Amino acid sequence: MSDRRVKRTRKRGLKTVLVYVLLIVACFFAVTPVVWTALCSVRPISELYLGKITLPRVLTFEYYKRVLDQTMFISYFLNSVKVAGLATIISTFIGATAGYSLSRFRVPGGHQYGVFLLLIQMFPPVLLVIPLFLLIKGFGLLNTHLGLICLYPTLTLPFTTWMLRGFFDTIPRQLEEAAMIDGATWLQSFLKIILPVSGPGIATVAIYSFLLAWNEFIFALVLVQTKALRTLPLGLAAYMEDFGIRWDLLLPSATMAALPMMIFFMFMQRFLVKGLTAGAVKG
Amino acid sequence: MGPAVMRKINITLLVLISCVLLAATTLSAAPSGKVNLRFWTTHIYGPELEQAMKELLDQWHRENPDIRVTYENIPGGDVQAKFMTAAKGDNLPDIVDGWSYQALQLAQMGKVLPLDDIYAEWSKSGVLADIVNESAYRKFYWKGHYWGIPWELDIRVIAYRKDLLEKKGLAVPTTWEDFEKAVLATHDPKNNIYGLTYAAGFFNFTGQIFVPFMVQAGGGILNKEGKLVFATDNFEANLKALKFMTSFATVHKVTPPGIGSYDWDDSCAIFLAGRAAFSIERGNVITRLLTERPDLAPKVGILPALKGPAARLAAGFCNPLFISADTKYPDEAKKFILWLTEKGRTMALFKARPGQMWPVRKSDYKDPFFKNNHLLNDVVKGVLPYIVDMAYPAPGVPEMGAIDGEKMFAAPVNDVITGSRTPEEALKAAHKNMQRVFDQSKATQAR
Amino acid sequence: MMGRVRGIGTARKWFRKHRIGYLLILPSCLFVLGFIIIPLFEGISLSLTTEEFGGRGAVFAGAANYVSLFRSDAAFWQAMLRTLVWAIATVAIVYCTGLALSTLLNQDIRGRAIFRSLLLIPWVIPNIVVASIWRWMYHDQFGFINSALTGLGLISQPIQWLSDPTLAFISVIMVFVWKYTPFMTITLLAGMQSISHDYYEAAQIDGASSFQSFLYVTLPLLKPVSITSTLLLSIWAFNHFDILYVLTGGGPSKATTLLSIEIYNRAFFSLDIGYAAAMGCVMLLGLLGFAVLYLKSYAQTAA
Repeated sequence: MSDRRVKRTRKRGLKTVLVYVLLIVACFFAVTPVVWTALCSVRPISELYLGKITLPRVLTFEYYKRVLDQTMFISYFLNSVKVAGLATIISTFIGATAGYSLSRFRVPGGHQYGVFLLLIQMFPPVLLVIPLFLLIKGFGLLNTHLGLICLYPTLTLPFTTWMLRGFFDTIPRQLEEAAMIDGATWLQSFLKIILPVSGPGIATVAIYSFLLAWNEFIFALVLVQTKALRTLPLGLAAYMEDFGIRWDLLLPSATMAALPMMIFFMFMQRFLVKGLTAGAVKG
Repeated sequence: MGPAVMRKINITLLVLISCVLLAATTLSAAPSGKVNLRFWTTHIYGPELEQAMKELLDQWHRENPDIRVTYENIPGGDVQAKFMTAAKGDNLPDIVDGWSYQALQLAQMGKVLPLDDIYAEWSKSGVLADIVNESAYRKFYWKGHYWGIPWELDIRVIAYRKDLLEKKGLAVPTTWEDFEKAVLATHDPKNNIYGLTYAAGFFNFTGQIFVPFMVQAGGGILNKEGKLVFATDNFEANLKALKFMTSFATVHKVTPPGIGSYDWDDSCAIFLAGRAAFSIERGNVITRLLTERPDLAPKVGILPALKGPAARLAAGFCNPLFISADTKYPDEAKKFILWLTEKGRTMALFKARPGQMWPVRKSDYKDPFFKNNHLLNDVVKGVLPYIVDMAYPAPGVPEMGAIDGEKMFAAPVNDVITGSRTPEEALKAAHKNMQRVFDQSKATQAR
Repeated sequence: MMGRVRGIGTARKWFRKHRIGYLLILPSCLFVLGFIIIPLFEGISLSLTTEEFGGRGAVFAGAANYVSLFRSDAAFWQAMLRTLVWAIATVAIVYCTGLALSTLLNQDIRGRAIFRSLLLIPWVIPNIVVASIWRWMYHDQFGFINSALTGLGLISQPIQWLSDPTLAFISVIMVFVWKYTPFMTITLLAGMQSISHDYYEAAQIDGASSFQSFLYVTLPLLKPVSITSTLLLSIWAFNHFDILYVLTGGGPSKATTLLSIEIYNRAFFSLDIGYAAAMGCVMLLGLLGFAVLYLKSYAQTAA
């Protein structure tokens, strides 16, 4: 018996090593371009053309200073945080309610509505640009953040709805039914039973919604018409001008855009696994 | 009790923050009684030019306190989407600094005001005679009207390493034959130096550097009447040009092997690294040399316009200022563009990034700034007098917007370099695409 | 298996249930109605028009755009085929890597938090920046990849990542995979987190190995999430535009010109928006057919 256990732990140890190795390799591929960008941002631009991989000989923060002093990077960044943050709240909320409805209430036409949501994504976005511009202009939301904040949840709806619907589907109904028999309303059972065990699902759609708004370019390009209102991708695109890429501005900006997000996700990622400890479903 | 209360507080806070932020977004600046002009530019990028532009506008506002001009520089390569969407939404800005053919494309859609009165005035006051060459503004002439006024040039040049040329005891080449000889002679794989580098990827720039070779060989895309003759009347000449340009990569193999994917940056990097003797460039290479490789700059010269089998010509594209038909203040907008194109007015822009933007007025070149830098001087002496547009020898042809935009004359170069088509096939395939653009615009206008 | 509650006095309960069900969909409907439905139908109906220069804008043209699209547009069908290959390849690779990574991240190991946040990084970089960085990574002379491979002594000649048409197609697929794998990883990880431990314990009692429980517990229960995420990813892959437009411009020799690039050029350079919309509609129909078929299997699992 104990012999078997030893064997098992050894096997387990080997497995753990393998998991680590694979994860480290994957992380290497994921972060190398970004780390390289960060490294290049603190060395003279002429060292970009070495054709060899070396560590920087001299560190220079001149380009960071240039970006911060001479461009509106900070305000682009804050604009993006605001737009993406608000769009995420709206999008997660409406996605969760719709997903819950589709999963539990099975109203006539619900499934068809879900399929229709997919249709939104199937039509090439570049062709939606002109009609959407006209619509947003009609609403008087042209050149406002509100226009983007309202638009982005519409773009994320298909994923948030379908994802959460699928997620809610996996939660056994017996839990709610038991609660309902005890006299709880659907709202109570949604808030007290479904939401706590849906942490990972909610976090996933929130991250997705945030990053869609964070990265979105073409709609922001046509809808924003004042420099002060630009979001980050628009600001960064201005360094990739017709006259070539301004590496001296792009590299530090890209690094500064990625770093806070990394730290933010470091804090956020625990929500991705919250369901494990939430208890309700745990056997 | 604790967690539930906390959650409630959290949700309340979240809602509150959202409301505050939403309210903040909807509160926009109060409109003032002044005239507000919107000005979109596709060329004022980067802190240096933006600072120069801001100073110019400050000066304008001091002189014209009642006419406010706010400019927006349209970022990145998606300029066209932004313009066409705004045009469809009757939301074009009052004043536009656009790409070469945007003025005519938008004029086709009925979105631009004709500027014939400015031209009439200019021809009287002698301003027109002061423009570097006639093609710089003839390209804005279409259907009996002028749709834009010239305000800056974007020039294609060939940069070369004087030191490498001297080492081989060669004179500065001025003809195709000498150019070829010099490139082959300076190619030095042992020292990791390529004879020539240029961008041959599927990008607009590739087509734009094919233009000088075509016109030097006596070819071109259009004829004098603006008819498409790319692979018909001009087939032989264009074939000669295409073969000459690509032979450096396909026959002599003196270019970096990867040029088939290069955009301008990628190729320029090779030259800036000191790893090419010759390089086909934008005028902007001068700024990059001066800022990124000041040590290399003295060893570099700009080649005078090459003499091909038919002519000595170079490529320079004049960009327009124009006024949109959506404007409520055409007179104020005109006043502004006239002010902006006054003699010497935009010199600060030309100085902020040397070589990136070039004046359209001959008199502006008298500024000692151009004499004092050997690279700028090379261009003024050897290239500027020979520049022609991509539509040469045709006058204004709006279809060039689509032909350049969809990279139709970059395609043959790219096809041949990557070995996907023979030069003959590549030209014919490109011609077919261009023909489609002409057919389409003919059909829509006939109806 | 999971039957609806059918009890006594169902009629009233049923009505109440529906009312709440619709009420919950309502916010989502409001956004769809307010912001997307009009543009969507306008975009689709544009395909029946042709742009007339001279200020009159789009004029009704019947099926003319579709006729010339089906009759004579070889470039469109080539781009369609290319897009199809692109979509299948990217979705398959992204799904497989995503599944592998989410399985790894789902293990009970130390430092999961760091791995999770590191693996998310590609996703936070805006696409236009991704494209510029990768064009530089792939540069044949100065790019990181060739420099690294040369430095390690693995290659003597630089690899032409982007200028060889076939290799370029693979290279751009790699960039898409790099960018979108985090999405798939996180989504599948969330799906795995939602699987009740009871199932695994039951499997363990039955003597299943961890591989067997992955095969017979994880995968089947992951099906709804997998189907949603792969379906959406294939739609995104089909419509993908910005990375390619900056990275290769659709070259070399049109090897990476996807439908979306053809559509963009037609709409914004040739100003032939009607024709571009017709292209978009043909693509839409194809995708819709695919999605309906795909979702049938979802309906089967959910039943």
